[in-house]
Amino acid sequence: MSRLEVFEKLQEIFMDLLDDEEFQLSEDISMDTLKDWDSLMHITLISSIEDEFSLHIPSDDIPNLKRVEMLIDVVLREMRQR
Amino acid sequence: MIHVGHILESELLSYPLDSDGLLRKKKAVKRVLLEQDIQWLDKRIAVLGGSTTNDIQDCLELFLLQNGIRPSFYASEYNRYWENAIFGSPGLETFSPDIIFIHTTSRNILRWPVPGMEPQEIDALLQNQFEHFRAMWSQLSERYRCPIIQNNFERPPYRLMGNRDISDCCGKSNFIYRLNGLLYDYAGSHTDFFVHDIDYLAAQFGLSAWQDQRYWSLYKYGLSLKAIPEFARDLSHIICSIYGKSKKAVTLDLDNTLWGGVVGDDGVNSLIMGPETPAGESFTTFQEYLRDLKQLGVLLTVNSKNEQANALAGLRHPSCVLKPEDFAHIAANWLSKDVNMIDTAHALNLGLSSFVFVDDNPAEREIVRSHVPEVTVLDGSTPERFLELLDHSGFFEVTILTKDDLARSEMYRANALRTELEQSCGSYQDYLLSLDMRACIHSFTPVYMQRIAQLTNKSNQFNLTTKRCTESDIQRMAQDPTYITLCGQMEDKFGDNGVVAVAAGRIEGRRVHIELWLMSCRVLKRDMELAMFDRFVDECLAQSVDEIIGYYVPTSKNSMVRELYGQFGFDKTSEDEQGNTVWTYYVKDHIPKNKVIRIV
Repeated sequence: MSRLEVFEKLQEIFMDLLDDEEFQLSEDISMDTLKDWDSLMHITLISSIEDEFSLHIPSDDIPNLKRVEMLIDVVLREMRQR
Repeated sequence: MIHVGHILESELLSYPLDSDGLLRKKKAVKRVLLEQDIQWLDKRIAVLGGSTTNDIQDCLELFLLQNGIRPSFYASEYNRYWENAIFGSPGLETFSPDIIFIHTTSRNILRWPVPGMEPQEIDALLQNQFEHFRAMWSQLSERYRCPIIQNNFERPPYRLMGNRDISDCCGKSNFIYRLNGLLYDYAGSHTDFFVHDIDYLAAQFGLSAWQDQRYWSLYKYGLSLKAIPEFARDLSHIICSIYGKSKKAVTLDLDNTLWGGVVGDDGVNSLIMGPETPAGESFTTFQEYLRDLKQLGVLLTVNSKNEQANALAGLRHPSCVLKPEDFAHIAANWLSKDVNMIDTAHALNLGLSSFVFVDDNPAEREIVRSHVPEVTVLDGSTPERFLELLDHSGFFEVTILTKDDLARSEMYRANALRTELEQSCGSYQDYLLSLDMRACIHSFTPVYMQRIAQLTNKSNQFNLTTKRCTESDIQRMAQDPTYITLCGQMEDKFGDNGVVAVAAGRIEGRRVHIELWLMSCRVLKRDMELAMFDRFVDECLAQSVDEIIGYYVPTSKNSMVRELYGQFGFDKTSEDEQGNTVWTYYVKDHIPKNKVIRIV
């Protein structure tokens, strides 16, 4: 799966979680810039990513994945290792 | 939008749940549910959690909204549930909860037994742990006088001693088993206290999947995120049941639903049911489940495309568990099934939303679903699936079981006999007199508190204020000297209807304001309301009350009593845009109205 394909799936996950069909994702969006992306949404976000890509994100990484770019990196990494 | 809403709702909120989908789309589901144009029941729910509860609240909200309850929440600070309860909390006081839910799990056990401990030491440990909880419940119930829902404790995921863990008093499994036993004894001896059975849920979900160490370590979740939708749905069943949102009747097709085969084509002798064949056994198991539901007070009815004679012949098959007498109403004809649904609802005096429809034929299900959308339609086509769906959907969740529930089917059968008598009488008045009705009307007394609370929650049509009360509310009114409270029982020559009418008014000076005036639909048009009113006036006279102020609060279901106070002889004194009306009655003008019921 390419970086773009992962990005597009993430875009859909964010649209669902935010209930906003016009939401535009970009790699530099982060927990600091997106108000609704709080620690509670983070939990559902991680679970949705794991479910969507059928992978398991290591616990130690979870609190650090605060930017979309990092989410894509970790998904690609975990998919390679599978 | 409505279409999208229906798909969202039916796909994401009904059994079996798509947990991931629901968690991901919960915002959209909430938005769609809130767009429903219905009369919301607003309830304040306090969640006292021994672990993080945010997602539980979010999901619980969805399942309550789906059932017409619009919750607002108070959440205790993380793991401060016990302190909040024992020492009180200004936030919780101000919130004034309608329901308190205590979300604890086995993670919140303070001290576990360890191998080598003496049995007496473990007994003391168990008592301490139980006392920790008991003190909390008793504080809460004294302070807030509202229903309390408490999780039981789920089996720990690990068994140190293997199989011995459950039988040895040093085992954690054994400790949980004993602690749960104490909890159930407490629940059995306290009203307005309900156990949420997460021990069952965890087992059903799969114990290993239920507890996710990662979620505990990272976020302090007492259960895995994926288990939360299932958890919240199960919890919502208790709350819906407390507020009378349970279904009341199962309407069943016959051919290939209650038995295998088509009675009209194959003949009675070829029907498949009974223990002789595997297929027959499945139908029998389903029928046995239905028979047991009926024992709980759920009404069974038939809606089948059949000649009446063939339908009855099938039900009299020696292996048929359910007999014609087990059904409160039988519609076996060639009418469209949606038409039969409406007739059945009418005959039993129930709203369409009280029914669950079971039919193996998807075309019939679609007709009922599209023409009478209030009816809940089960999506299944085999008896195994029907049973599973009925059991897991929480339609008939029991929070209170009164003697009345157990005798309900009998009462409805007696009603059928009354209808026959009515048709043979010359006039309605003659019919009423021939029923030989006797009523016993008295103030709220302890033995009837449960039934009175239940009536306030279940009666929709003959209900002037539709004020829903818990048992604690009813007790409070009964003890308050400024209240006139009445409940009425009625029996006639066909049987005892039990407690069927409730009235309560708050006295202010020389006026009484009627807060509750309602009656069970099973005694409509029997003049019971007149007997109740006569007695209410007597109470007013005894308490030196001159004026009775009546209130009518319109809902989608209670238009039949819009003019009730007018018919009693009240004067309408105000009416607002929503149709709320206020009425006044002068006690001195009262002439007794009941002429057909003997007061005993």
